[in-house]
Amino acid sequence: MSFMKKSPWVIHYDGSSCNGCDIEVLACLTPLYDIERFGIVNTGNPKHADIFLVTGAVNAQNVPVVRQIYSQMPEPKVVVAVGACAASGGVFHDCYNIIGGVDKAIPVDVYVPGCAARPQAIIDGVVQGLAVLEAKRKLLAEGKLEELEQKDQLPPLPPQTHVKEDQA
Amino acid sequence: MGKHTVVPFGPQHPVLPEPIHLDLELDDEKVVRAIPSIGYIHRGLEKLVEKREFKEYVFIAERICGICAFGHGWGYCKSVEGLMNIEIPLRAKYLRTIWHELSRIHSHLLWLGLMADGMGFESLFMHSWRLREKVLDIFEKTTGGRVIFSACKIGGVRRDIEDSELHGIAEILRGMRDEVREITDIFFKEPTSVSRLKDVGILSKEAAVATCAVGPMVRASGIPLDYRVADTSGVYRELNFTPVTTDTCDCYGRCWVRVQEIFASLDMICQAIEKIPAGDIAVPVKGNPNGEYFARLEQPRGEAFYYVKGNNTTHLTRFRVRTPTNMNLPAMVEALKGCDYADVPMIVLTIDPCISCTER
Amino acid sequence: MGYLSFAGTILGGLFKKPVTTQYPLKPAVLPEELRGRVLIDIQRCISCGMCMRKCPAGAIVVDRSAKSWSINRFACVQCATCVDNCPVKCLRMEPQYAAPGTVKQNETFVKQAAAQPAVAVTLVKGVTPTASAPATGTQAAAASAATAAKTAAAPQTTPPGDGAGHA
Repeated sequence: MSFMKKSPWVIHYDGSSCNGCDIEVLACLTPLYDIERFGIVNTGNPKHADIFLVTGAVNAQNVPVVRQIYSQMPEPKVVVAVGACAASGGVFHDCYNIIGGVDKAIPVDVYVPGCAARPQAIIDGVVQGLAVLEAKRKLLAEGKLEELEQKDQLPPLPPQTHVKEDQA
Repeated sequence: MGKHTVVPFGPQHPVLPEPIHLDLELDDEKVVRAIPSIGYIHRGLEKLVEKREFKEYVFIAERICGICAFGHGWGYCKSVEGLMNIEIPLRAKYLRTIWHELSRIHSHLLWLGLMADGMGFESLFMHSWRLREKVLDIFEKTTGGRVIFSACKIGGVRRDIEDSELHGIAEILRGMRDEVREITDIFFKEPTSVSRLKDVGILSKEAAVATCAVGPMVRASGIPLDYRVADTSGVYRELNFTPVTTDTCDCYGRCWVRVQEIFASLDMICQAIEKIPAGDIAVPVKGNPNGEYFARLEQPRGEAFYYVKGNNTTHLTRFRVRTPTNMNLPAMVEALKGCDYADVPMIVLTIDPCISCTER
Repeated sequence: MGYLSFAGTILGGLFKKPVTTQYPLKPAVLPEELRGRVLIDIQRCISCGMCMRKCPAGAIVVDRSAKSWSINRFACVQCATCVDNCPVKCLRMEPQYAAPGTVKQNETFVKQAAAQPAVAVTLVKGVTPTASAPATGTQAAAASAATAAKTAAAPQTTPPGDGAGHA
């Protein structure tokens, strides 16, 4: 696969999801859809990861956790929102403590639709994320760190979150 | 008196598929107390009954949890059908039972993989999820989805399975029996995994009864509590079935109970396929739900209760689910007392936690 | 002895084909019963809005006046409620799943105006045809067919523009 210069490492977090998309993300690691043949490894440490796979429409208690994991990842980084809940809230969009999608908590680069998103769709989404990662790496190599940080800036805290700004 | 530390475990952790937070109070390396904090997956979906009509709510009920998805959809439909006195056709009951037992097999194989991965036994994780894909292929062909099936509706089921397909499914499952036996034999005889599971996380019979544990957690402590035996309205009466129990009270016992349940379910599905009658798959639903009703179901993780309340409008007023992990969390906290710090992931995974079920 | 019981699978694995599907190098094999995404036969749609009311995720928007049907594929949960409840059965599910993207956008289908009868249209020079409500679908003024800029033009008329030169 000529567009991959480096094997990206993936970190996965369940942001208030029903687990359907999470088990499909884990199914991508299993022999049938094996993404480890591309060198992609599921790591548990955000400081080692390039791609952040988030599932679930995020609820108020989870917003600080998602933001903290995102902030701990080093540049360049890509966020892939997996599933209908992560893209727009899905069937839970009018629940009282759901903020309505991951892009209200952190900036998202690729959206993968589906309920639960199929492993083939997740692989498609990760491949699109790789192209975005490559573009960001070029920016970093050219020394344009401020531009990159501008793109990856956190959006303001959604109103339902009940922690202060400096704790999020 | 050793050194007293408090270690936060979760919500993001490599071994945890779902966010749960435990504050572990340690005395040197022994856990003295574990204090759980939950609430990271609470979506308040029980309140959504006020906004969705009762016929559409089934799609929300089945998304309580992606692993036990079929069980929740069936439980909701069962409780509303009981409330409105709808008698569904016998073929629909058989189809629901077949899908539910397939769901149990896929859930236990998933759990086995996660358990092995938590231990570091990654090749067993790969093999058990490879076998699980065969079950997911069956789901894909019969219901249209791999994880969330949307197969139940109030009044019956939405899709039928033809008899030729059913016999094909029975063949696949018979072939799977030997492969599952192979990998589970390795799991139970491998000295490393045995030493990590035997005599770890003891939950005595009295403690299991006192904390009201359900499912394989309590069946491994010697109590044969299984709702499928008591179910009068379903088809479990027609199937030859005994609950699996053991009395080792430790992690090894719980693993053993779940694996034996896989074989029992494989057997039950083959029996159900032979006994399924021809007929309709759904009846029309007229009117609105009124009153209260209570339904029970044996999910892969234990017994679940479904309570509904209606007031003769198209929207229910109350829907309450008591899921099995809700009751197993206090039992887990009890089992964590006195264990080693390195045993904490094993004990947490051995209750088969489904936090999204707990918090809905 | 427990240690050799797995030998059959291991040795077989050396010689058997791997179970890995070669996606994305080879296309995915999707069974035809799979609920992938919703498709509509827009010409049969009557814009009743039933699918919009029944959708649990609120992914469908039906505009009666514009005769358009639009779906947010990133919110759709593939439950097939819209397919079951459509009174004219113009919706169906196909196995191909919706593709991921970097931007969330709706997919809109607009019902085209029905074919106009063969009526001679004379446009008086100097009088601009009035831009009436787009795609009402009625067979009213033939001049309104010429100004249907939003939808594709009806077969007999030339594309709208200055309205010059057809009679």
